[in-house]
Amino acid sequence: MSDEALLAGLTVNDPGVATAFVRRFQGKVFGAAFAVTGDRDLAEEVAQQAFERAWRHARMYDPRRGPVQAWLLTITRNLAIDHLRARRRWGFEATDLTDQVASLARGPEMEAVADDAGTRLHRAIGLLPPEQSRALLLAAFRGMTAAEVAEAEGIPLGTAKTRLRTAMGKLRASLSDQGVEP
Amino acid sequence: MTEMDCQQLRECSAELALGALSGPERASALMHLEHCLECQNEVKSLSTLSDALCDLVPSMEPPVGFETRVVARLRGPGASRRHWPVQGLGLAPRRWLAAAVAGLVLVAGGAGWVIGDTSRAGPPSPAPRVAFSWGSFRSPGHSGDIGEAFVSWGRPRWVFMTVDLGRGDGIANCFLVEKGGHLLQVGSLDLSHGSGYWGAAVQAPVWQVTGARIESADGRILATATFS
Repeated sequence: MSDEALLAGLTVNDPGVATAFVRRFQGKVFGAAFAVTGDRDLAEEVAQQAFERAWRHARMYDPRRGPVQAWLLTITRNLAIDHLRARRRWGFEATDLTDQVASLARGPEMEAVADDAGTRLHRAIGLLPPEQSRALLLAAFRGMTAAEVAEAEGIPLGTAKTRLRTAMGKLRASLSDQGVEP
Repeated sequence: MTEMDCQQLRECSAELALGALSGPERASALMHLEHCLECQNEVKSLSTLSDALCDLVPSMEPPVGFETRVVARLRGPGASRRHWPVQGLGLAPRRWLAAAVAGLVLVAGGAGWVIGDTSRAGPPSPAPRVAFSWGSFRSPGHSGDIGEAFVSWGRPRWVFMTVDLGRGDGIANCFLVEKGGHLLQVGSLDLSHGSGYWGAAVQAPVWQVTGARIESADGRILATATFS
């Protein structure tokens, strides 16, 4: 059953579909929540809220803007960032961040023959200078503004902005070179 | 508040796509985007990249009982009051058609299917199994599938149809085809550039459904589906 059909079932309160929907996406949603918060208990609360919000706003989903999973992960990320901001703390230490950058650059399927867009993106991240990938990760997964990235990294605001802009530009160019439309 | 110009927008479009712009800057950027199609496309492209970055995060096994707790939360106070039709929206059929087939398990000896998520190993609890009928839409003017129709036979019973004809706007009517050819109109969808989707719970008694049909407002058959 397509993700879109599952979401349609969610809007009519079909309990079987609700369970199937949660089962299909719970690993990704929980993983996304943990990637931002770095705390299993908080990640569970965020993930539960993400499903609840998806359920409440299912009729607002517009498939022309992207797949269901991307929509759901955006909800998750935003909720996780809201929680971090409310608690005025960031989920990870600097060493965790370095590990996460390395993990993202390596990717879970790099040893396989997979050559999908995700794998190519992993490769492209691996080619970024470390300071650029760190800035990118702080913004993408911690929800930090450029000013917050600058503070966390101890660099001028202009440098943080440049790192973010350059990193995104390189990733897009890299994917375009490989024939992937970002 | 001052609106950004194109140059300023380009300099911060990556931050905007990543959600890394401060509030005032974001508001200033959005003012500009309201009327600049070129910058809209730039930000859209980068936002797609930002979404792809989020998608890279690996899956993690949630704590034991997570699924049960979430479903209970969805069934909590207010859940039974919420009941609405899905709004008509366009879909990219080639993307979802492949996914539509994934995860289907045939019900032994029945005319329908059951929903089961085969994409990952589930927790020890029994897999949810909801019988449904499914068929892909076809049209004489198109080669290949142009949409899909589902009827879920659980409680509530619900119908989901989606189609992409390639062109055409306006209201189209959604029918279920019962054995013997009797048509039962169950809803309508709003076509935009030929695509649209509709879904809702069905209150009317529905028996022996063999397929689905989408017709234009003046009765032309736009697409038909035969259920497996």
